[in-house]
Amino acid sequence: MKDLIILGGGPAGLSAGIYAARYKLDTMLLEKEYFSGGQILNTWLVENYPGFKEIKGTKLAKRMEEQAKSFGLEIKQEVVKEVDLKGEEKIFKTADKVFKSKTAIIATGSNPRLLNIPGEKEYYGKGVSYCGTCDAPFYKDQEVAVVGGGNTAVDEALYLTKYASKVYLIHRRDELRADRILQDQAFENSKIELVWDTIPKEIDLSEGDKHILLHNKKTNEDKKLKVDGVFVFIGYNPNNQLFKDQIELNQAGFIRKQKLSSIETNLPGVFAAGDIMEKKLRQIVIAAGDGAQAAFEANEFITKTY
Amino acid sequence: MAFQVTEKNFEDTIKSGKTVLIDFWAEWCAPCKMLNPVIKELESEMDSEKVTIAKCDIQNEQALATKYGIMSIPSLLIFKEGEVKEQIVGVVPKQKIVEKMKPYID
Repeated sequence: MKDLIILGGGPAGLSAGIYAARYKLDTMLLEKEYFSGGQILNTWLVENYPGFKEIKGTKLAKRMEEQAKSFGLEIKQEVVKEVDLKGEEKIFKTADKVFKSKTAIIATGSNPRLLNIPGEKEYYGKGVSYCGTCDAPFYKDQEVAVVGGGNTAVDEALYLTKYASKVYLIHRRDELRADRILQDQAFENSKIELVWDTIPKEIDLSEGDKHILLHNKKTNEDKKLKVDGVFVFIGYNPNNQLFKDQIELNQAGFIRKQKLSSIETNLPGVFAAGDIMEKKLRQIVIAAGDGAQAAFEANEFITKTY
Repeated sequence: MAFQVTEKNFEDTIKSGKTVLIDFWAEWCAPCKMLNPVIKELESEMDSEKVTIAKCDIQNEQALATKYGIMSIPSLLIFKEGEVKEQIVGVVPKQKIVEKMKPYID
């Protein structure tokens, strides 16, 4: 039996792995993808992680992984299908394997949220995208819509201006939520046009009449906006499917904090870190901090209990 | 390493009689790289008499990407007898790709 199993290999999981390995806990990290890093793999440039003025998301992920491995962390690519976290033994089952541990750190993160409007599914991959850095080059000299108003949305809108001739930034409120430095860049960029107080109702990218149907909440008017592509960045849903009937969640589906200063879940020996936790701000630096604390608490739990 | 299709050999590849999976990718796309090991595994596990697995670098093969309406990468197209049978967008588990290919493998 392992001392600790970490579920998820994003910044929270990798940071927990670094700390746990240095505590000399017998630790295994399970990541469903073939590459560690989680969502930062989809981030073009990270500009707010201390120590790096700017670094590509893929590079930062690689460095975190290498650092964790250098301290002896075992990282396995495994798709976990089922967990049992309630007992003394924490059990993780894949299609053909079972892993057991004394403690667990849940770092499964979150996934981009969908608009859930007509046309979104139909045109996914044919004009609807959730990755600006992947798909921006397809829109050279074309017009696109970006939906959202947070850091990711504004960052991706700015990236898209390298290719697109026009980027409409569609936001449901009358001010952006993104960091001021990003807002300023967006306001100064002549290719970006803000569309305030507006929610998308329908996407239709059929040849000859490509558009997104917009609803203005203030004027109550609907209008068609001609665009060639729609990029969606409206926040994230928690990846809680594996344990939602075992760990206490908040209404939005994120793991509920039991104490203000801690990252314990309601189950003994089970800790959570990163985006999957309930919190106001989801950032790489916070995930890394959570990971460190979760490993510390797992270590303390093992010392006390075993 | 899966072989790279270009405009020159594309038609011959998709009309070879086999079931053909083509992975449209680009160097700048991180999710594409995440899919690489999956493609490699598929290549080693599937019967090469019946299945061809190939990659198409859209940076060099823009005309092919345009022709097949690729607007997001990674995109996987499954061909049989020169026709597109299925399209899979984004990073998906290997099992899902296998399931989509199965009906078209003799």
